Parts: sequence; structure tokens; C-alpha cells
Amino acid sequence: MINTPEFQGTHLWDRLCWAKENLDGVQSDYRVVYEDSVDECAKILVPDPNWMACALQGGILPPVQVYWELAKDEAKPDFKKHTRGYLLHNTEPVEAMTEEQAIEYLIMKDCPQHVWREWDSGNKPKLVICRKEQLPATREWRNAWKISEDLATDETVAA
Amino acid sequence: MALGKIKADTLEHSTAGSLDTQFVVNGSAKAWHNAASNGASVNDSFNMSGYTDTGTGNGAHSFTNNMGNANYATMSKILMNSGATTAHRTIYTSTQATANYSEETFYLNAAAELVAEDRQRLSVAHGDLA
Repeated sequence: MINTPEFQGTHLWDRLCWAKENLDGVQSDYRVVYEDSVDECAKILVPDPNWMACALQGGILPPVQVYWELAKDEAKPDFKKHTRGYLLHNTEPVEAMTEEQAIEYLIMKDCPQHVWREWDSGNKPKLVICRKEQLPATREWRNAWKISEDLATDETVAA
Repeated sequence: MALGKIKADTLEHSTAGSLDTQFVVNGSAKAWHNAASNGASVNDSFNMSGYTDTGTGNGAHSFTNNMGNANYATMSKILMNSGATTAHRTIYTSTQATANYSEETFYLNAAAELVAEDRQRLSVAHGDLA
């Protein structure tokens, strides 16, 4: 396995260039199904293979909290552009993750916070991690897909 | 392993003049993405962390390195490699933030109605990085 250069302080985009050149993409079988609105169908988050390679390699991606800070900035009414982009580049990168840890990181990065922070607050989970094969085989009724009412929030629904 | 690095502020041609490398950096695509038509997988990409299938013909791309502001430009196409018809098709960006952007894909049916459609997506983002 190739060693990751010391990347703290290197622009994240430059790190991704290095990763693209040196790491093979990793297609994960995990999918994250979530509902962020009762009026909309379930959404399915697909991990990017090049991003997953970075997560498994370690030393490339910033801590997920950095993205939360940038999201806070963007949510301000007077936001025009990011002035704290340095957080992406200067914060110590996270170490190598397992695929499962990477999925958890990705949920906290790319799913709405109100979904994953309160995923078990209702009658059924708002979010489920599953395998690709567990999704419906056809997309004929894609806009009607919902997380099953049979799932309970007090048990592990995917292993 | 050490990173190879060439630092230059200017590229100069022997006769055709010179170019500030900032133009090269600023003019490069900052992210690109090729997603399967059913939204079930990402074929390849750069600077993307994930693709969210949000319904028939709909999807969202998330950046690993956020854009610096929401005024970046995206260019997207659909791949018509199978089941192609002469119907007019369109793909447009529906929302745009520094962390992600969403797209919707439609075709025009015989009744001149827009119908959401799943197609393989090819998408590029240009702009300033955070």
C-alpha cells in the first residue's frame, strides 16, 4: 500500500489530485437510504469510489466537523463566499477509516443533519444503511420508494 | 513518497506570449462526475464524495472540496447510448450550494409534457474553490 504524503497544510484539491493518480477507486456495496421529507420519496446516497479510496487510505480527508463549520457559514443570511476554506486544508486530516466508518462519516457529511441526528426519533428510522442488493431491483416505482414501516429504531437494521 | 512540484507564476511561449498560471488554475474544471443511469453507482469522478439519487431523473452531487461560493458554473449532459429516441431531452441544475448541486432530467413526450427520466449523467463544475 502506498504511503500518504504529509498533507496537513496542502490544499485539499491537490490531495485529491494525488489520490486520483495514486489510488484505485473502491466501489462500496453500502447504500444509505434516508427520508428528509414526508412528502418526498426516499433518497439514496451512493458513496463515490474515489472518495472511498481516500477514506480507506487515510491522511487525505479533513475531519467531518470542518464541513459542518462551512455549512454554518453558508447558512448565514449575509453569506457571499467562504472565508474559512483554510479549515479544509489546514486541519489535520483523518486517519484511515474502515469502510463502515467511512459510511458513517459520509452520512454526517452529505445527509441533512436533522436526518442523522434524529434518525430514530419517529415511528420508523429516517435513515437506513443497507447493501446495494437490498434496494428494489427495478425503478418503475422509484418516486414511491419509502423506508419500510416494519423497521424499528431499537434494533440494528443493517449489519 | 515526496510530491513532485513545479512552481511557476507564468507560462511563456517562445513566440505567442505568456500566460499567468492563475488563469490555468482558475479555468480548470474543479469537479466532474459520471453516474450510472439508475443512480445506483458512480462510474468515475473527481472531487466528489457521493451521489444522491433523489428520485426518477433527479440526483445531487456533493463536493469533497467545497466551492468557494454558490456562483460556480455546472455543465451536464446525459448519455444517449441506449433506448434513444428523437424526443427532446433536457437536464438542468435545480439547486446549487457550495457543498453540492442537484440536477433533474426530462424528456418531452408526444403530448408535449415533460417526463422525468433516468439517464447516465455526465457533469462538470467550474468555479472557485473554498
